[in-house]
Amino acid sequence: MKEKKIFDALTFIREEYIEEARTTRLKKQAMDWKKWMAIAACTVIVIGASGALLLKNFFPFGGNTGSGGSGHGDSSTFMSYAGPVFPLTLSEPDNTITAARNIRYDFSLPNEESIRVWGASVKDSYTLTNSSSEAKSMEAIYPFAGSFNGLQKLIPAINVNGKEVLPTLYAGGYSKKFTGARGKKDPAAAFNILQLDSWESYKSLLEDGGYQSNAFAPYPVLSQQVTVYTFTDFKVPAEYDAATQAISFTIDPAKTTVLLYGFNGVEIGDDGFRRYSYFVPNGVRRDSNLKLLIVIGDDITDYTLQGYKNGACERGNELEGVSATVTRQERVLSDVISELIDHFFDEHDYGNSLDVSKEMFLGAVSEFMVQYGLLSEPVLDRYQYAMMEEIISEVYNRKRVFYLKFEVEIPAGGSASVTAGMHKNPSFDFVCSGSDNEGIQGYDMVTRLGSNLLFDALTAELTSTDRIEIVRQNYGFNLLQGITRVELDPAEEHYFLEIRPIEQKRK
Amino acid sequence: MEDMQIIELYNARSETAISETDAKYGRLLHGIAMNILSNHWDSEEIVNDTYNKAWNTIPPERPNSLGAYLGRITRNLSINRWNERRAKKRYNGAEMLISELSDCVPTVQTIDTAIETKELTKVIDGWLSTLSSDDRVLFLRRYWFGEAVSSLANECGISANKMAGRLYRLRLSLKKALEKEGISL
Repeated sequence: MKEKKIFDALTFIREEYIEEARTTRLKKQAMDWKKWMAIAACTVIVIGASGALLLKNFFPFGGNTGSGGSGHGDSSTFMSYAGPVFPLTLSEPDNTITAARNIRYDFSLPNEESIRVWGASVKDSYTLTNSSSEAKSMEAIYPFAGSFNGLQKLIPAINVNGKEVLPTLYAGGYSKKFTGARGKKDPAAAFNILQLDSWESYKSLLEDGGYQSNAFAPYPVLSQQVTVYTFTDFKVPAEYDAATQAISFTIDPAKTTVLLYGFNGVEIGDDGFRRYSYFVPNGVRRDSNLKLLIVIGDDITDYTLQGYKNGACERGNELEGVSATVTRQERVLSDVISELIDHFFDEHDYGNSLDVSKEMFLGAVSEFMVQYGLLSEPVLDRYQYAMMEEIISEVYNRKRVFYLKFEVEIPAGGSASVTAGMHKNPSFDFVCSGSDNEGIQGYDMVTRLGSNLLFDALTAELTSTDRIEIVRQNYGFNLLQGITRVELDPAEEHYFLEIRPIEQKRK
Repeated sequence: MEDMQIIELYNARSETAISETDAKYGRLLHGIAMNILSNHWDSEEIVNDTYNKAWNTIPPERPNSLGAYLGRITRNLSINRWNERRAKKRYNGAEMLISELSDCVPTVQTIDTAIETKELTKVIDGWLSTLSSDDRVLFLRRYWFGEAVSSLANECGISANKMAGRLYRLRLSLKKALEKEGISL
């Protein structure tokens, strides 16, 4: 039964869509379809009561999902891909320095209460040898995959010659890859993010070196003056729990850009007409109380405020008694965005979860806006509605590559050791996905990608293996025969290890 | 109770986690199962199995969206149960939902081998991303959560016939998207 396949496949759609459908009420269709046709020049987007469009980025699998199960090479493509372990590199190539690398995966239980292995403790060790006759002082760079969300748990601890050092953290930009609605087969449009869902996707991101160079470049500063309209003192008749207030005006899109915060609906007309609307806070709904409209460029000259009974901002649906005080201020854009970031994290109870400095995150948001959204030319399809919550949440959640930079001294004819220690989350397929890979954890490493070091030896080892079995690999380990340390070929680009935890009986 | 707090209860291996989950999501999960199975007792059992699965998987997993996580488990367990029951010709349940989806089956004939479920999911994900939020919510509330056409129509303030037409257009749109991808089922 072919249609049953579609029904089954729906089970595993992206989690944010499930959450969106669970928490969003359908829009009332008060206006007849034909009347809609009459205003076809307008594009309309309405976001559900719970701000579902925003929430979609907050889920761990959100946008990170690959198709799962199917393979690439002999390894699997997992639904949730954790990214590979990358090799150390130097800020400047030096052919008198060679490196021997050993990577160790330790599969101890996360804690005493655990009944199964989840993730591995990874120790990625390097011996750097200086064959020249002069001592070398160089900057080393250790890349790792992650996102701003949950970053603290992912940051490797770096030791040089046995002593822990405090490296400087740099964040790489966005994955840079967008596609149309039909994925890779529709490259022209830019609705979807092309996910970093395999080691090859990281390869494509990093191999030309541009991504890493950009990561060390200073962030743009959004110093332009903007006009900010703030909405406060909301009033709404109590019996309407989805009462909406809309502000409408006309702009010259070539001279004015409008950014939103706390709004739920957008209408964009070809003639420059704009209508932005929000559900009026009534103390019951969970919508943000902060409503800002940020105007870049020529100010809006004339606007109209109108209340509606619900999210359908159309004739016949008007509602009296909806009001707000609108305050106009001139401010510097980066100051406004900085405040929005604070509000965003307070609002979503993520106040303590920004693991980097506020300046760094503000820089990442600014960089993103200049490169891909709102201030870019042209604005990508995905961000055409200019909602700042979505931008902040995209920057916070999307995968990227981070870099740790630190100094290493290597004496003439001598060597230095560098070790990166980290907890590495596994790649996996969702529980109940029905996948053959359900319960399997994947761990990838790459040997040369992004590195200018000359590797003359590469080894790998496994420890605490009594609670795992190996399902697939290209290392050459054999747990039954006690082979837990192997020599690898530095010319092989990618090594993968897929294990299944052996569950422990609870005491 | 917030999801984060419930997940902390799972992490602490406190059995209150189950009662709190049931208080917050029991109705939703029962609804998902009921819409597929049309059988109260089976649905009850599926919801209990869902809690059991959640207990055994959290930790190590730490879903931020507990509702979606549990819902996915319930839907999958319900489909498995439906498959078993249908083989024994016990009841129809999801028959109606599935038959509606026959409108989405591509008519293209390709020499490709039949697509895997996960590949199909990826294409559907791509299609869903092209829809307006309202259309996407509508499609999923019908075909993921299994809500009745009449109740969806009521929420939108339109007739059931009109709602059926809107759903039909969405199904045709999915069919077109699948055909564009050269999908063979």
